[in-house]
Amino acid sequence: MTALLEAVGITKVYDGMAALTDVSIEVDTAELVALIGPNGAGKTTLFDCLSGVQRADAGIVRLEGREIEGLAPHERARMGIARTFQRIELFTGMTVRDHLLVADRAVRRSGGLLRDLTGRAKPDAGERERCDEVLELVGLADDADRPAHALSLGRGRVVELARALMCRPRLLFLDEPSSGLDRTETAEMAGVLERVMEQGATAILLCEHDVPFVERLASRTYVLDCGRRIAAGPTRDVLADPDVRAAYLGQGV
Amino acid sequence: MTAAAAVQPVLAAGAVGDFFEYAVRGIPFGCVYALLAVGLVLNYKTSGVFNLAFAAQAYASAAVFYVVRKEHEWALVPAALLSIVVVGAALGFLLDYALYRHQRTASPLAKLVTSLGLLVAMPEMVKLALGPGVKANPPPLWTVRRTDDFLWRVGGSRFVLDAGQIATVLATVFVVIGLTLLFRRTALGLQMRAVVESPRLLRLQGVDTDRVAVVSWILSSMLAALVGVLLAPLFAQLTSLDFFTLLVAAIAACVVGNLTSISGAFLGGLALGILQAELAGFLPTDSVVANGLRPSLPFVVLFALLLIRQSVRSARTVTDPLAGVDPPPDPPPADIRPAWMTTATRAFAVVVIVAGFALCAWVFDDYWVGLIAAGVCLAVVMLSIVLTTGVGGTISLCQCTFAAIGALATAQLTQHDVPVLVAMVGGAAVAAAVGAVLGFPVIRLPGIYAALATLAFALFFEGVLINLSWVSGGDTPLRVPRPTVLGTSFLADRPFLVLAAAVFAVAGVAVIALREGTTGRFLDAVRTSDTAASSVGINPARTRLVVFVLGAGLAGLGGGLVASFSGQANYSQSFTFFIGLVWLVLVITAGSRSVQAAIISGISFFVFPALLDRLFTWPVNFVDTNPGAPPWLLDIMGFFKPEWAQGVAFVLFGLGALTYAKHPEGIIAAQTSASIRRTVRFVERRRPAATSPSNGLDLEAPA
Ligand SMILES: Nc1ncnc2c1ncn2[C@@H]1O[C@H](COP(=O)(O)OP(=O)(O)O)[C@@H](O)[C@H]1O
Ligand SMILES: [Mg+2]
Repeated sequence: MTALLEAVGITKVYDGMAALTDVSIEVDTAELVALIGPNGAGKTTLFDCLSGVQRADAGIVRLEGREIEGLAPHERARMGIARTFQRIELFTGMTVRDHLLVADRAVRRSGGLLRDLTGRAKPDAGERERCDEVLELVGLADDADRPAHALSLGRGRVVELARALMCRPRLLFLDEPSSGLDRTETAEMAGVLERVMEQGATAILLCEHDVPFVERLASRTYVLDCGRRIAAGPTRDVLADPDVRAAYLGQGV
Repeated sequence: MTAAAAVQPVLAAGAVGDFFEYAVRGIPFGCVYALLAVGLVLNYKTSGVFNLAFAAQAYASAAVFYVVRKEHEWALVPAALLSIVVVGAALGFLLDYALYRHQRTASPLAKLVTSLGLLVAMPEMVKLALGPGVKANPPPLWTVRRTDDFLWRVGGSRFVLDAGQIATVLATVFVVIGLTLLFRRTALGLQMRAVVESPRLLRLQGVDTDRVAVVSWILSSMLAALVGVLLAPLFAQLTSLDFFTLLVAAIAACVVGNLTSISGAFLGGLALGILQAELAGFLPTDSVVANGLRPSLPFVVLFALLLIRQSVRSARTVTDPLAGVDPPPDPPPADIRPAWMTTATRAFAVVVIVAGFALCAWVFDDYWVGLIAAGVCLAVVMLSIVLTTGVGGTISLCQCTFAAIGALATAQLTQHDVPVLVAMVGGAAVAAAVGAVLGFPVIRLPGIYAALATLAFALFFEGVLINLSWVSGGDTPLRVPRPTVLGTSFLADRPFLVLAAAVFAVAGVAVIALREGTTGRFLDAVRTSDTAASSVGINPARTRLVVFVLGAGLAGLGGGLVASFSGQANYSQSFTFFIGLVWLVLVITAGSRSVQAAIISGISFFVFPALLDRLFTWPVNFVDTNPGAPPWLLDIMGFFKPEWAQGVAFVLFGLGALTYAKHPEGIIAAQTSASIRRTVRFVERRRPAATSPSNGLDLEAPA
């Protein structure tokens, strides 16, 4: 059986400096995989290459066996690849509900000039239902009509997650979902992710520094260091690996 | 091609000789471009302002030099000292002290708008201050005129440079070496660059950022002055427009250096000058290619560079690492307005509109109704600025060009007996098509570069395309009739006003529907970040392009209306680049996302100068009718001149743009928010427990 996501030999060079060297990674349907590594290891760069924001210099990316290298980010999003950002990127001047509505209409391609000009821009019943479902799932129902930039960083990360979930993704990349959050917020985030996984529709690849967070959620873990994959396997084995501990603890994380 | 070269048999050696001859001929022009480009880069690097008003500063100093040297016959040295050192430095100090000091952490867009306002206001101020007369034959900085002193013969080639050209070359070399040393070798140079990246970080380091910035501004402004004085003799007359056009070549040179490299800008300018001379030399003189290509070269090069250079396409705007401490922007008035007040506002709007029509029908005389009707036609073009720039987020400096294209196409269609209204729709379609071709590459460029590309297109149209008879329709402007539909005639001004208002209303409702609908949300998303927008499946390029094309079509429609109302498609009277700048500045000042701003700025464009005209005519009439008044009063009254009206209006329009940095939402929205807050506070004080704002925002938060 082909994996949901298969990336082989991804290499990315920035201004003569290799950010990724020959990295291969696989994610199966509805599993949660972690990607760890010290700062500057290339985790964000790998997400950028997989989601199409950056063009890899070498390597192949397949989604369910179909090669997607060369597709633009919005095309990949419509195929079911969603993501969040390490430096949070919320849309300015929009409420939480607007964020979800925009995502819903963009992936379904159900909003457009004609709809606006014929006065049917208000959300219909189906759209409202889908929004409410996701708001409920991530626990944002109370904040739905507040401007997103008025929320705390922790809630902001949840809004990004909700926005990504609105794309009905088969594959979701989360870039450091718990960074900048306090302990309760981190626990809440882990709870939300567990609920998403229970639904069984979405596979998640997340990169993280918080080791207990990874232990709690991820079945498998990849380790990057200096742009190379130095370990891969079941989370517990990987975290016990002396090389990994050296790479990580050596950096004092 | 020179006569000597033409009779020689074309040998390989001869061709190489020609090559060098043309190259030398191109160097002085290259230096002209380079000097302007270096000045722009210095300005940008040390202030973060891509200072389009640089051309206006250069023009101001050139005009001062002209007046003192030619009209007051000063000696060379004091004249040069006054216009370059004194005026240049004073202008730089003033710009920093009065304006840019308060915008140091403003967005690059705000800084660009400020410079656009100055680009409108400054040349008009110069004309008002120094008199409107034609300034022919600007004096050179270097008075030697014996060109044969600088003639070399090497083999079969002749190298000729006149004194002014040598002055330009020397000045350029001197400036480039000086600035390179400043930035490479001195602490001040380093601080000047750092103050752009994060003035706040620099201040935490204990550096007096205000002093550093003022030095930067004085330096770059003196350079602008030097450039102006040096360049003026290139033209037969001193006009601000020539400086704008030179700016395009200079911008192309800046792009070679990614807007920040002095040596890149220098080499770019030099290369452009040499390329121009080579083309002039090697292309056959009478061919279509040569005649078309020579004047358009700077535009073509700028365009090509913007499209080809990878560094341009991946350029990111430098963001202040401490920008996160800024408070978020104010919410739009609609978000803080309680529901009852929305109803009241709508009712008030209806009253205003009805009252406006009533005044036009029964109170105002034909003169004022004519101006208002012209303003409503123009408001359709203004609406295209709202759509493209306010809602779409692309700073387009070529909406005037789209309006001109619409007007010219309308005119040409009516020549073929197409009914006027149908022709207007055709004109809009032609403008939209041009917008699509232009927009396809342009909307992919990051902010400031997109503005520059549209600037290049507008000036290309003005400098090259409008001179082609298939574009302009010949030397005299084409006539455009007013429409008659189903027996209803719109020949008189009042019925035409109703027609224009109807067109504006339909377009305005459509713009609001787009702004408030999914398109508007998608555009907001794209404006925040392309990456985030595309991560949810929005195609950023397509979203922007659609709105750009619609904006171009709307401008074309407005252009057709303007032409039909005024009876002719007259480019130089109605649609020039400078007029377009005034439009843009007006709309942005009033509120770039607001439909009210479009109609108010459209009407103001015509009515405000007319009011000023009345104001300045009144003292003249007073002098005529009261010859017995005290002499001091007559002196004061005699000081005012009616012909100031247009210039003063443009100066005030331009200076209006300076409010943008404080109120990016526009003064209409700012005023509306302020009065909503006041009213809500007033009502709540009188009825303590009653109506609180519907969405629970804290209205008492400090503004
Ligand atoms: N746009 C870019 N241009 C140049 N270098 C970059 C860019 N993005 C990331 N890098 C470099 O690539 C390396 C990997 O960065 P990143 O993927 O952000 O690491 P991580 O997310 O693991 O902390 C870093 O050394 C970083 O400096
Ligand atoms: Mg990262």
